[in-house]
Amino acid sequence: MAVIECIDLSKSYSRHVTALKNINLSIEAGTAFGLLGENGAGKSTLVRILMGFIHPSSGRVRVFAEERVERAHSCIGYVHERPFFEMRFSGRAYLTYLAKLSGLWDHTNHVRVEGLLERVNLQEVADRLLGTYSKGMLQRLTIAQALLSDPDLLILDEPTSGLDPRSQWEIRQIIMALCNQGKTILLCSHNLAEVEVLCDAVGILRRGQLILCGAVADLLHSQDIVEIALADELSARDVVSRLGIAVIGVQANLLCIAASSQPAALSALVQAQIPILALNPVSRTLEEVYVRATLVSHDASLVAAG
Amino acid sequence: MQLWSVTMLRWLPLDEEMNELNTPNLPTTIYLFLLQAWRRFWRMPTFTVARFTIWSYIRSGWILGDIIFIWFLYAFLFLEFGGNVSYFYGTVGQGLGILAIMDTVVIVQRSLKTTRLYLPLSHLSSRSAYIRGLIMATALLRIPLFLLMLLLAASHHRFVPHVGIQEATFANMLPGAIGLLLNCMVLSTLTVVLSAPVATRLIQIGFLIWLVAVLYANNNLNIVAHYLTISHVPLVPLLSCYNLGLTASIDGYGLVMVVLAIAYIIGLTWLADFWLSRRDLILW
Repeated sequence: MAVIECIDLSKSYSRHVTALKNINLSIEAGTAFGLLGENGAGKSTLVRILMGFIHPSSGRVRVFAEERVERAHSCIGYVHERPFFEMRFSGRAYLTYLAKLSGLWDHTNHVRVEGLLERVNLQEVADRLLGTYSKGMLQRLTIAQALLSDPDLLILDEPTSGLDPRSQWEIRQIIMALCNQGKTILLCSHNLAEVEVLCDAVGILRRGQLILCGAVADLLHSQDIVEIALADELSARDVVSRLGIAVIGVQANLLCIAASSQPAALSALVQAQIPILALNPVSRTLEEVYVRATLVSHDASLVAAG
Repeated sequence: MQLWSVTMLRWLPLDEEMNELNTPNLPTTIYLFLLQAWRRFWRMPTFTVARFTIWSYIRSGWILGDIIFIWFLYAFLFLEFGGNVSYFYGTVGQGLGILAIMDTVVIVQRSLKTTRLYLPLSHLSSRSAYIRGLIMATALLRIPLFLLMLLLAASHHRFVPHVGIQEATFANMLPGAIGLLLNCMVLSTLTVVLSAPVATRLIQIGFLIWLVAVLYANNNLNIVAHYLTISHVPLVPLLSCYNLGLTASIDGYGLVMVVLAIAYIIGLTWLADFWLSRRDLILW
């Protein structure tokens, strides 16, 4: 079942500013989906539409099959990229208030608030004013408030942005535990390594368009580059110069070729009776996938612009 | 029809509560029923937002500014001059009206215009409860501030110690208190309605044009001003409520005007709810 569905979703702020263009996206239950994109790509706009804070200009959005997404708020936990708190309240008091808004009162409220304070490791400072909290503590509190109603969907807008490595690690552990619980997660982040570790699928936004979307495993192991290891420690450079094979790169006894030129390269090697030790598709990091996708999109837009 | 049924059902006790109510003792039954009804009322998101907004305003220290303003008002208007019931409502009405607008601007600035809004909204199933709670908070704040002013003015002034407001009785103070509080609540509600992001710039400009028309009609005697006096019509209930304090009495016409002022508050709240539900909340 799709938890989030966007169908031809567009958002324009004015005639000249289009934040999202015809986004089609479906996120299944239990998926950890990473939303990537440079600043101004439209990530926050998409998240705000999914939360019902802003309305789409055209197209449709459904969260838990609700077109009026505000009605699904009881099933959604939300972490804003720049949370702004009531600094003169304690962490416990503020969480208690938000729990009451979620319909949790009396014993249920107390148990849930205390449990979450413990889970995000804020129990010892729970009675301190929020004004005295560090950024990491505030971010952990934001995550705690997102979990108050035990939601099935978590929308996390840059949850580790601006935090020190230790705090980032702590928050990543919390998110990882939520992933393991089978929660559906939409994670917006600039931290590609984080998305690679936490997410099952990613979408890359550029200038309001979803330029790439798919499972992380598929994107990282896409077989468009193949690595051929030559046996007998033959010099790849010599072989390339002798046979005139089109390569992307050479290193010691390794040939890197485009998957499309794999048949031609193999037949040349067989004809020349050069033994092959191994042939493997090349894995890439998410960073490489991201840079490649955005560069291709950039080049395409330059071509289109003439 | 369906909405009313749902609303009524929410106020009826749950099954387990009905079991508690199935006692032979009628007063206990009524007591339990009222207790449950009160609990449901108290736990409505609108009231939760209103309580938190007031508490947040107090903790932020802005309430001290209000108290100082009221003390200055008292010192300026009553310490030297004193006065009777008409004088009290005539002068205090304007002072507390200005305070209602200033307070509301501060509350709206703190609650509606920053990303602070996103977290409570993400826990609510609509924006209605939030905006209603905010309007309720700004309106309810008028009561303690009025009582403080009343206490100061009634308790002491330099020439007539212990009888601050001359000839004041409960009967002749009550109509003015109702009128003054209603006027202040209308002003605070109107301030919320006209604030961004509830109102668009076009609506704000429209309101200012109406205000200019009112002032022009008030201060000129030419033909344009004559026709613009129609812009005074919406102010009739507010002026009537103001007059309740000056006359220290309430008649049938006054009662109608009180009902109209209450209708203004309800109507403006509905308008704020309607407008906010259509706005994009792009906050930083």
